[in-house]
Amino acid sequence: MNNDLSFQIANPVEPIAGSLEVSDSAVVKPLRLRECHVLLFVSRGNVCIGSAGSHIRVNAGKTLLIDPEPSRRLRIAADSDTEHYLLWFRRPDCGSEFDLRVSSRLLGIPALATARRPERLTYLLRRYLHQQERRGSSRLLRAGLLVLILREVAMSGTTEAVDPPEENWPNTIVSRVDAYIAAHYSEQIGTIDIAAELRYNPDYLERAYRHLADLSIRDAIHLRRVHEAAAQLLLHREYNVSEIATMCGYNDVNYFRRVFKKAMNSTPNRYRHGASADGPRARKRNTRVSA
Amino acid sequence: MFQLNLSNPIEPLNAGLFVSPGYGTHDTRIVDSYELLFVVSGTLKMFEESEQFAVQANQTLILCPGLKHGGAAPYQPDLNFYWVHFRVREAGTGTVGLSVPKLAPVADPEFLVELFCQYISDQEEELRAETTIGSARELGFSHLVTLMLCEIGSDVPHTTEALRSRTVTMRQRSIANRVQKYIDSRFRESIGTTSIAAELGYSTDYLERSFHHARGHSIVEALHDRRVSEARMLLRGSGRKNISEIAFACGFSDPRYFRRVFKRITGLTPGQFRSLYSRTHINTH
Repeated sequence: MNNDLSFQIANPVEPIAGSLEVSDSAVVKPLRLRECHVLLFVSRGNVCIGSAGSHIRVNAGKTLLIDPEPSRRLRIAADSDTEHYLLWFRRPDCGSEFDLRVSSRLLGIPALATARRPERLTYLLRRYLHQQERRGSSRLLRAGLLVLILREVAMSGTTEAVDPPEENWPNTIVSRVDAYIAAHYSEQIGTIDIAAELRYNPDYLERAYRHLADLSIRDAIHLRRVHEAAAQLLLHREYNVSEIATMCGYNDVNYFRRVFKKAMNSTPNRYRHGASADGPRARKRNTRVSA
Repeated sequence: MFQLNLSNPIEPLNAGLFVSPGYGTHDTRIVDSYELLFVVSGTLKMFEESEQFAVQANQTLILCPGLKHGGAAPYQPDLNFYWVHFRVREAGTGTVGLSVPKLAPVADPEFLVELFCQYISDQEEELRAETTIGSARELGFSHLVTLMLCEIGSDVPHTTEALRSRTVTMRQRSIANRVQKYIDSRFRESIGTTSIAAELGYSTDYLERSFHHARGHSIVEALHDRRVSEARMLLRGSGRKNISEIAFACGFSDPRYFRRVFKRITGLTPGQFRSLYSRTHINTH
């Protein structure tokens, strides 16, 4: 087919290699830096990295980012029963700085950090290794995975414990309520309908949801509707505000305007027009549409 | 602190999963963003200007900004598709060209589904967090979409295929394809290298050698890949099957063995994997 589309995508990192090391008994090995950055993630046990003078201990669930230092000889020592991942990567051509015609966005990655979502990180690392094993896998695909991996690490440094604790049942309550809202936000629904549908006592459901999501169910419905409306405002310019209000489950357009203003800090009309203009403010709002 | 510049010309707006209500047609409209559609089940019939597209399951379609598009036929009842809208900023130096077919089959549909699920669950989390979005998150969205495009398109078209064809004979390739087809249709049953060889009429050793040479991994690995990919699909699904039921449904006779294989391939236990994908966002219009 000759109607392929062509996109320019950023390639901020160059993947070199990745490996998963599993050791049953304690081992000490030299760590080859290959003039690369190295990301270490320990998924089980303890690992020590160091040279003659100093060393750093990395426990399970932590990541360590090592800068390229050609003169240093590093050793990696794993306790018995450990599992860790190593990724080698470079920044392409350090001399010429990346030039996108937008303000650059720097992501700060801490040297030693605790993974905020170790499962997600593990899964991304496995996908990376899987791609590496397969013949003829795309380099860009691996670079993309590497970016997501580094982003996970970056998030661990900036935010701490945003997620509710990883227990299974409460997450399920929140996600079931959210899924119901997502499917029915355009209808006249409230906490009582959701509780009846999911077979919970309404008070209990409200309390549980509020505790876990830090948000009442009513507010969650409003938020979903407002974000949906925001997206519709941008995508369907042929509909006016009151039609969009109706589509998103509001019978009273003035009420919709009030709720929208409160959530988005902008009226629906201003939002629609502000978003089409260029500028950092508009761009920021666009990403908040995300719903 | 290590600083990495992750500016990305791909600027996503929002994404979701469309579940057919069984009636209605896609709106006819012109939007100012690209739209990537990925059909999970059923067939999506769309037009863009004068061109018609029938997008089958496990295929993707990219619609371009500024062109009139819409549904060419009413939604089928079994139609499900993921969608994401994105814009493309003008890029300077430091970017790489990626060629993406307009309509294409996806080699690893399960991976693409997972990328969409990650996108949607991050989107939900961000909705709930209500705070200003950290740049790490914001960047994640654009790189997730970039990764989707990488999965569909390629930077080095066909060179690897050409490389492989020099060393792998036609016969080996056709044997490998037959084995893969057999695995794809029968993996839910208790099959193994021996029974596949018997069924296809080859000696086990010869079959294994040919397959390994053509694909670079063994028949058992291919079978495990297929079964685990099915398990990934079931674990993401809404039906609350327990892990043993899922193991049996994917052709594993021993749930403990299933756990081991699953963990080896994905790095997670089936339970951990399920909790990764417990949030979905569905729209029906």
